[in-house]
Amino acid sequence: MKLTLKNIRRSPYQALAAIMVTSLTLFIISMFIFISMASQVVLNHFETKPQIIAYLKDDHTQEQANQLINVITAKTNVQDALYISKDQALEIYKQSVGNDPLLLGSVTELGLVTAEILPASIEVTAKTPKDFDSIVEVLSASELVSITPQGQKEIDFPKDIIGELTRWTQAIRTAGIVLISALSLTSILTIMIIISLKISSRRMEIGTLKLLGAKQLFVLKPYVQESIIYGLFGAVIGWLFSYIALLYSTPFLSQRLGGIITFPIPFLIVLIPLGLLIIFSLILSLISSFWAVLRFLKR
Amino acid sequence: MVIFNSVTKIFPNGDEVLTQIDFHISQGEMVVITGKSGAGKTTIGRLLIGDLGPSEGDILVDGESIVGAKPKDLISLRRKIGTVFQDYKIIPDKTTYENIALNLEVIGYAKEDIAEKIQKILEIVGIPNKTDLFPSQLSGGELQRASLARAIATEPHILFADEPTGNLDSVTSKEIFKLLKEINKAGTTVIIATHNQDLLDPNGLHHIALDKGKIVSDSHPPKPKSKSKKSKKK
Repeated sequence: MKLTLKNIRRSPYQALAAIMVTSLTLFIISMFIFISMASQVVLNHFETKPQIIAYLKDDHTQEQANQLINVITAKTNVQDALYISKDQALEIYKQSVGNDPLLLGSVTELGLVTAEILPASIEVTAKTPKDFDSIVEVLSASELVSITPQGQKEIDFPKDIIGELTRWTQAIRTAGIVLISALSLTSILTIMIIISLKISSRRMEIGTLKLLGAKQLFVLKPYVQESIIYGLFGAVIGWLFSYIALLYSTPFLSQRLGGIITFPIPFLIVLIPLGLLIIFSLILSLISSFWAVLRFLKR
Repeated sequence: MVIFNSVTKIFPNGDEVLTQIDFHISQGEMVVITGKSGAGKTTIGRLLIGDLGPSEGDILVDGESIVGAKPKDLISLRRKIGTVFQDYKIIPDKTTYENIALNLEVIGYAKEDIAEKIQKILEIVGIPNKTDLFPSQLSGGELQRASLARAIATEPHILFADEPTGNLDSVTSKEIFKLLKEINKAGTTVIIATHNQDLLDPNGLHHIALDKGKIVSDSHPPKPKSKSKKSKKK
């Protein structure tokens, strides 16, 4: 280890270049992990919420609603279907406005917000967004579902939001993987070139050690260690910068995603990317150093 | 202990540097290989430590052939043979202490024993106060002694010294030669390759003379007459 640190001190600019490139790569990876984790939470949030709400005519009976639920469950790929009465709808409304007396007492064109003015509904959670069309088709065919003044069945479903979110998540993942692959290759090449240069410059010393009876591992261990040090420094610095970026953007994110993700993010969860980065940096370092060593041994 | 059996070495460029070399070195012997520059002395050393392989023939060390030896076997062979290289091969950015320590670390010497060992060795070779000096701060003689110290630190069975007096004045050369004799007296087989025959007294030594890659003479010292025989004659 002493020799490894000496090697690093001997060429500080090479060490700096290796650590900077590795840090940048691992910073991007760390950000990608945070974004992936967040997008998964957001997607789960939307996917586990009732996705299709069909508002019912006032003159329905609960028995009719139950029959409709049975039809939907039988004919389509449903995870869950619930009947929400007018009273339950009022409870949901109260919860959504936080029992704000001002909003609860607000006068609409129909009068004060009471259970009477809120429609009963059937809330359906589909297994996948692909099942939306078939569920909506069954609901649209039912006489129980109320009709808007424009003559359309009153059915809400955020198909586009989930579809859009899924597309964005996939796009981010694809772009992230491409970017990370390119940066990882750059890091591997940078470390490999630096280690190769160092091995070349110490060729005489390596040759002497071999003639003195040193094992390959003894001769090349300092260079592998050096590569690992670059990787570990890169992991810690990359993670640190991504953590700072997360802290900096917490007020902004909590305003927009506050209901979905808990802010500030618990430190233990933030440590997950650090663990992943350390593992990834070790893989990068080992690939780079073994590549450099193999090039040397082949000569 | 060391046997060269019809060894020929031809380099890839076609140069035949050794031709049908045969010699036998017994354990504890002190051997001087002499010859002009280019006679093949260094090549013999390189063949001995497996740095080169022979084009023909066989080389045996301690009864085992080293031709085509596996890397693992080459490592153990090199640990048996201490080498004083012609160009010293002292690592320039390491102190005398570090250079010797490195050789001890190579064979897995315990770190706590290294300091004591090095001090003893440096006293033997006569440079006890040069531990913290870098090679550039040492004279030619001191470098040669440092190189010798590194070679004998691991207590090898065989010591091969390639031109150990190469660039040294006659006084220092004689001192180095005396040192090598002392190492031999302690039981180590010593093989010296040199072009400087004048400094040596081949009498009483196993002397192999090379010329253009061929052995021109291989003279063993006369066997001392045993006292018992003398007394019988008397």
